Amino acid sequence: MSEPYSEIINKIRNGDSAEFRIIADEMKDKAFSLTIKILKSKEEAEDSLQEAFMKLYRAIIENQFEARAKLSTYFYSIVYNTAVDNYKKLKSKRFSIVSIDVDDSNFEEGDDLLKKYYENEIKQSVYEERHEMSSDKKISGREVEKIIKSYIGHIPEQYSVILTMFYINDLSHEEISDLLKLPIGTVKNRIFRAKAKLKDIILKKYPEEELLQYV
Amino acid sequence: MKIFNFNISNFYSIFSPMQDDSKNIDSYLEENIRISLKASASPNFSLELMKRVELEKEFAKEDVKTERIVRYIIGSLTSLMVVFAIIIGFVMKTNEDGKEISYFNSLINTFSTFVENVSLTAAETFGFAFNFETGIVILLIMVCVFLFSFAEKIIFRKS
Repeated sequence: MSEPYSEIINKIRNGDSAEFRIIADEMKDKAFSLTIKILKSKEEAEDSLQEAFMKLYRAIIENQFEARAKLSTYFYSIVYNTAVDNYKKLKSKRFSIVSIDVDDSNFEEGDDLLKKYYENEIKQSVYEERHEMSSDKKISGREVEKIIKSYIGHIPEQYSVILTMFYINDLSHEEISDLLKLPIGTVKNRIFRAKAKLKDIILKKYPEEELLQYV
Repeated sequence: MKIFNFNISNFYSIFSPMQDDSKNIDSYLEENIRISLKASASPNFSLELMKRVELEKEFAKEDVKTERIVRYIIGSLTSLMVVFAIIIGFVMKTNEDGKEISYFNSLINTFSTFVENVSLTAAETFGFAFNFETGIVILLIMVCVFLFSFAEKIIFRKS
């Protein structure tokens, strides 16, 4: 069994539930990063994540993922589905990430939002930051990081959820595609487009040579 | 004699001293995307979770106990019914043969007197007598209670 948690899983199955904390400590922040992208509220995200962890615990006890290769992949699918269910319950309306499983028109929707964000938010936040900074006209690494943080905080769910799954949860394109029931091309495309857009925003603002100082 | 130990961390840099700027910017952006996407749960998250896990474990233990008790009760009742049916069958058979079996006859008489007395007491107290119909009704109520508790247990577990 290639599963790195196999020993812990066996211990939990044999009644040593305290071992579950190792899994929880290791996965909670990565899973929380995904849940918060869907539910937006910290309290709701934590409640949803607790629920997801309890589902995982029961699944371990009841030998439900015996045949699965990776516990983390299995767990993140629970985390995602639980968060979406909770979102539907809380908002009692269609989840905005539903747009994740539609066609190319979503890209336009996403791009529009990114464009709007770029025009309204970045200029403000960056210039405010620049004003606060010293008279030194050169950009700082912190400034670029702030732009990226701000950009990530404003992109629509159909991008942020996929990016989180890819960069934080370390899921492969295939795994994301299976989980979201999206064509693999769409998954790759969204990751590429989100990155390309960010690069475009940054490079429009700062010359490449200047930026390379912080790389 | 001094031994110099060279550790080459980037082997390819020997052959290509010019760095790929675009790639560097990409990896810089990716690293920052990673940082920006990261969020942290509350520090006491694991503690709260483990409390829930312990509770779940306790509930599971109680469930096992209850299941065992219910299994014992059902087993005892079934064996009692089987024994009772065998005895009745045996008594009926001996009666058909026309043999004198005073012991079994007196046993049946005692049993029927007991049922009669219970029936009379029930009629005086609750206003109904024990007969075949009331037996069926009581049996049906018991089956309904059993089915309801069983179904509730399954639904509760699944949710």
